[in-house]
Amino acid sequence: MNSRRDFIKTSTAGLLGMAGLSAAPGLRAAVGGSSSSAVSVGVPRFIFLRKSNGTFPSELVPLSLSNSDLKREENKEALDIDLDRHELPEWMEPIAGHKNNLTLLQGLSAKMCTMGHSTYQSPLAVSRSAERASTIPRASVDVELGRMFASPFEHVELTCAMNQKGVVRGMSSIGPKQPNYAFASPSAAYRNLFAAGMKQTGEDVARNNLHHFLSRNLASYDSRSLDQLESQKIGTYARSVEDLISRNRLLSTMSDQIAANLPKLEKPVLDDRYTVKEQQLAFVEILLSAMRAGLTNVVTYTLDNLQTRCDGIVEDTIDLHEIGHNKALNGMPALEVREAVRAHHMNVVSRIVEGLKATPEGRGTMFDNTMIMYLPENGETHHSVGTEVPFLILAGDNVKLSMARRRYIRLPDYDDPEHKTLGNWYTTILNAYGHDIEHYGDLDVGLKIEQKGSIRQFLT
Amino acid sequence: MRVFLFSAGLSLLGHPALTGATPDVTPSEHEFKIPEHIGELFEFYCHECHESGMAKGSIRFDNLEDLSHGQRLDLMNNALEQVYSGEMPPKKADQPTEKEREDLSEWIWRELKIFNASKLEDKLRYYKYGNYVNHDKLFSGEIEAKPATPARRWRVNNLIYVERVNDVFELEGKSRQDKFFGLILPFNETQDPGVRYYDNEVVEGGQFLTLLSNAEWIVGKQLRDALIKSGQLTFPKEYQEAKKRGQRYFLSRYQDEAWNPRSTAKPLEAVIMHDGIPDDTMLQEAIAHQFKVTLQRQPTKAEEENYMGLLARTLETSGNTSALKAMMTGVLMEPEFLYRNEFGGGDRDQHGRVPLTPREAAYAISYALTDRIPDDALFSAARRGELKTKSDYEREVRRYLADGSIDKPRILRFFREYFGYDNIYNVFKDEDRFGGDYNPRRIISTHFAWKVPGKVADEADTLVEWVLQKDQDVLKTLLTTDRFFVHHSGDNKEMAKRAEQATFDYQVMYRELYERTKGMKNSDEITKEIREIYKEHPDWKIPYLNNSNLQDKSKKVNTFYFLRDMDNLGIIYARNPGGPESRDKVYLPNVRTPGHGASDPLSVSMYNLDMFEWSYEPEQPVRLENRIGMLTHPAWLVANSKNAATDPIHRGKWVREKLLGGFVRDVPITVDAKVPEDPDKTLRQKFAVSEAKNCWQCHEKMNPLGYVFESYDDFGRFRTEENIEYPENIVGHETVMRAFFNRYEEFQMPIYKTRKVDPSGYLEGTGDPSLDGPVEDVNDLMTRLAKSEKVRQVFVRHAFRYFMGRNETLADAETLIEADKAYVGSGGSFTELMVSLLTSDSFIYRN
Repeated sequence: MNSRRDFIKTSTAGLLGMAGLSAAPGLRAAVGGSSSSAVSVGVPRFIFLRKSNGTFPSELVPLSLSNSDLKREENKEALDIDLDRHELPEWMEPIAGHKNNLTLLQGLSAKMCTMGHSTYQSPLAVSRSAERASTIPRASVDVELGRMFASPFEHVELTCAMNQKGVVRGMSSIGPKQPNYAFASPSAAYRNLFAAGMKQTGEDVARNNLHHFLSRNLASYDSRSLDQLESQKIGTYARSVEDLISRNRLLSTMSDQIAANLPKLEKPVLDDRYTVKEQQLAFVEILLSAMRAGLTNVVTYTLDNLQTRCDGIVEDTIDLHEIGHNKALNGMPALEVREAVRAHHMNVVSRIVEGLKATPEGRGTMFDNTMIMYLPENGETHHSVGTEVPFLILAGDNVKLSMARRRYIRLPDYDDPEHKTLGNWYTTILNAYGHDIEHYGDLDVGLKIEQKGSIRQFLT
Repeated sequence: MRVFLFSAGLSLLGHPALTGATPDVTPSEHEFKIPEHIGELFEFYCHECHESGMAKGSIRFDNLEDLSHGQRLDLMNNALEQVYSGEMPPKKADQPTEKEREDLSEWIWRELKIFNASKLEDKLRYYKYGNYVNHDKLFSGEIEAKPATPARRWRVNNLIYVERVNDVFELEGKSRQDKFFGLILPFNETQDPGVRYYDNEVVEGGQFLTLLSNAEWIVGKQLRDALIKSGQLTFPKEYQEAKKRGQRYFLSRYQDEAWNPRSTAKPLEAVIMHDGIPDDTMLQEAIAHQFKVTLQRQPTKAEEENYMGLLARTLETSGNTSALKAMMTGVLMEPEFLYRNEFGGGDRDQHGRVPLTPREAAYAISYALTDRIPDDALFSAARRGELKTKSDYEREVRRYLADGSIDKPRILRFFREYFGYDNIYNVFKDEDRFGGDYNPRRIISTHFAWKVPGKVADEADTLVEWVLQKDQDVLKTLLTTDRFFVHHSGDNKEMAKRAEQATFDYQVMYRELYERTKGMKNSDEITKEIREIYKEHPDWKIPYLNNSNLQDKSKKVNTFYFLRDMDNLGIIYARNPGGPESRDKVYLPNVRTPGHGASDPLSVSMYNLDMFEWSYEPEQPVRLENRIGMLTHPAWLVANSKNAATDPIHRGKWVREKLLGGFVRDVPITVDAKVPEDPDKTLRQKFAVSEAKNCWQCHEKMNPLGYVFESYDDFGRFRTEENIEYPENIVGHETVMRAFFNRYEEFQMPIYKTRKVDPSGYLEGTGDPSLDGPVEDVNDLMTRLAKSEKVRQVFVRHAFRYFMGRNETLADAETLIEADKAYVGSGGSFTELMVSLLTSDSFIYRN
């Protein structure tokens, strides 16, 4: 792991070392800001925001690129541009105020992943994962990061996919063949994450009684004289109950901290009555509160998937799948609907950023240590093949990646000797934070270049 | 000195854990020393290859005493596995006698057991190690031990879990649900070929929250009606308004409302509606109800007291509803709901075994054949105490098998898992290489019977069902049949009807539609013409262009789909000019329009048939050239292929393990197996690298068997020449017609340089010298395998594993021999094989 001194040195050198940037005064100021807040305390935090229907790479391109840069963009040639001099696409308006923290990263391929409509764990586990758990080869990158920076919940997953409710199968994975679980309704997340900070209701007491009852009930099974595996069957189950009780006990020691950071949710939302927009915003509250309360440092949040019927964003309910097929929504062209959805997502992102920036931590704010990645689970389009997964990144000043602020970066095209994949990108993040992995994820069998390792220029 | 309490020889039971042997020395007392006679065995059989100087595989046995404790345990675990399974010494070396092998295994195992370090017992509980048990000994008739299955809890799978939830809601007939919105399938299930549902599964930590959440969801639904009645559950104005806007809108807002039980059970409703704390009788009735619907039994006195305690603790603090919910959730989280209990009961017999209790027996029989709890007759037999004897079991098993009204999905599922052909879904294929729509658009779910992989897997199912219907020489037929179902549901009557309809549609109805709208682009114009057609032919039903719909003046034809369909028809008619002479030609039965489902017939190309030219026989199965049995079915071939190449290694491994009862050890972690790129060689030629001495030890068991399937490409298409698919080998392009996104279109398919396929191989391992030896091709191989007694017995072993949910041990020899006899005696009836297994001591007794 880098020391703090090393980090300040490398992050500054890295930023300034990027071609064409050393002369940018605005950037110098930003770097200055980063070094000053780098001495603040705080653990690294990561937020992965998944969206569906793909993001067309053209949708990320700054409006004011020069003709020559535009041509390079169209030809998918490498670009590295300071966003300071450029106008963001209109749908990014909600985050325009955070431009200093913004990087638009294009050109990461994901052909080693299941792409198309539903990608399951693929974009976070860099694999060809499908609905069947047996296709999951490893813990997804978000879970790996969660394990690196311990917290009571390690990693929290929230989802608006399929308008489900309760606790559902997630899109991250905790290990080979093991999908994560995700909170699909704000009430389930609220109940499970923050119970220790809440005034106990009759139902909470009943639930607590139930947990202890289950524990006692299962303990009575241990007396059966069966062989080791057989007793493990009840043992593992009993341990799960015990773990839940223990975690609840640990959380009860944090009750003041949790109580001070309880998310503020409307009653209908807690009663599972909400539009998707309300659900999304409620999850923002939950996410921020969970991080503030120290319950987790990594959150993966699926804003929607193709089966989510999105209401509350525009007048009509959006069928994202039909929009993906370019079908107009009651006269509103599909492209406009896509833009409205993205703009709404940016409102979500903006709320997260502002919430973190408003939370003091050390000498700075929580945002200083946070990296937010907004990525399309489907890659470059609705029916994608993984040529690109465009990333929109917002990163605080202490984030250990040299590229992660105010940049428009297009990496070299597929099959170019310097081309990079999703695996390279996650390897870079893991390496930057001290996970010394050679390469994260599957390799692209069709890619005829050396493809293992991190993206070195992002680490320097 | 070491003293062990061996109740039986290690090799006799085939499973060290079953011997009950425990060393009586503690690890700290133990001094490692190799006894003289064991040292002699090492010296004679092992040192030649594994001593200083040779150390094959970097393994030495001449310095065991000098190794660190950890190293020694690792090496001994490795050695135990090799010696026990018969892998070592290698076949070409001098072989120890049976007694010597037993002595050596037993000594190593004892040494490991002192430190609780033996890994073999655990491995032997997993399907992939099932073949470690010595086949010849199993069927030798020498084993006198009486079979029994260890007492166990067998975790339910997702299918059983959903059925159990249906039972909680007391749903019957068409009311039963395949899935419930809001109920998450909690268990991760393997897709590997072989037997997938074993008794070694546990409820894992990660699944617990999902199960708890599911239980709360179930309880919420159970109580929904009563909560509404009591005013505790109300719906906002928007809910009513959403309802008024129609089902689609409503469900987009309230998806969980898609299904609700009709009412809350009376005992539960009584507690909800009761003002004040309910009396004990009410609470006991509520507990009894939840036990009945969840566990199909009454609570014991102790259970009732426990749950009454939970209710008492919770009622005062949380009120009736919360307390009731806690109790109901508790019952749903009982291990008995998540596991099938098979402990047995009653007096032990002289072999130390107890039979399943009648209740356990009822569940065991029902779950052997179905995913549901026992039917009333089975429960009733259990209650009457008529599920005790072998003949009781036989009566009920035969009743289940004969009763057509009882759905028995587990029978077909055995073949799916054994052959593993449903793994076709997991093998991604490039559509350009296939020449059209292949993939299910990555909507990988249970709903993708459409598109090529799902359809071909269905056709494999249909073939199995056809063979099972005949129920004679089942295995032999499955290995050697030249008959297959292609683009066919398996129902000849239905398909004849469809073919007749399709012929009419394509030759008359579509043709007229096509001719009369030719050149039209405007929707109004097309709509008008179709209305005219309907005037002349009011009885016609053109799919997607419903007459009554088009009578509505506001409705118009969607030109995007219509023009696509007409383009497709143009292509079909150009290839088949029609006219009276071809009136009997059957066109693409099953396809509702030439657009919707245009990709459906693409799968016929996997059988080397042309989608435009083939006759789509309504009477099937049809005889196909160059195909012999399930292992030449495209579903199996693709399931055992790589993304862009065949997979002779895994095809050979399948034959070695599933037919010959052999095994191939896991790839050593030090091996980075890579096939070298070479644009001048066939895949088989490139695999020559695996013939290197270190690799061949394992590859010898697979390659010579897998190579014979090189007669089929990675889409399962027969070939005599192999395309050498490298860009530099493209020698031209041919124009082919493909279906892509439901549109027929011309496509330039690259033509590659080819090389002749060498389908010869070598068969070893049948134990029959008249069958073992070089094989010419797949036909030769399958014919010989089908004649093998050992292959048949290995099939019986797999059926045993499937129905018992565990690996066989040598103690199950009697069961296996009887099952084999029943199969042979009945002329290869799978029914008789099942009856034999499900009435065997292995099935009935627990120890």
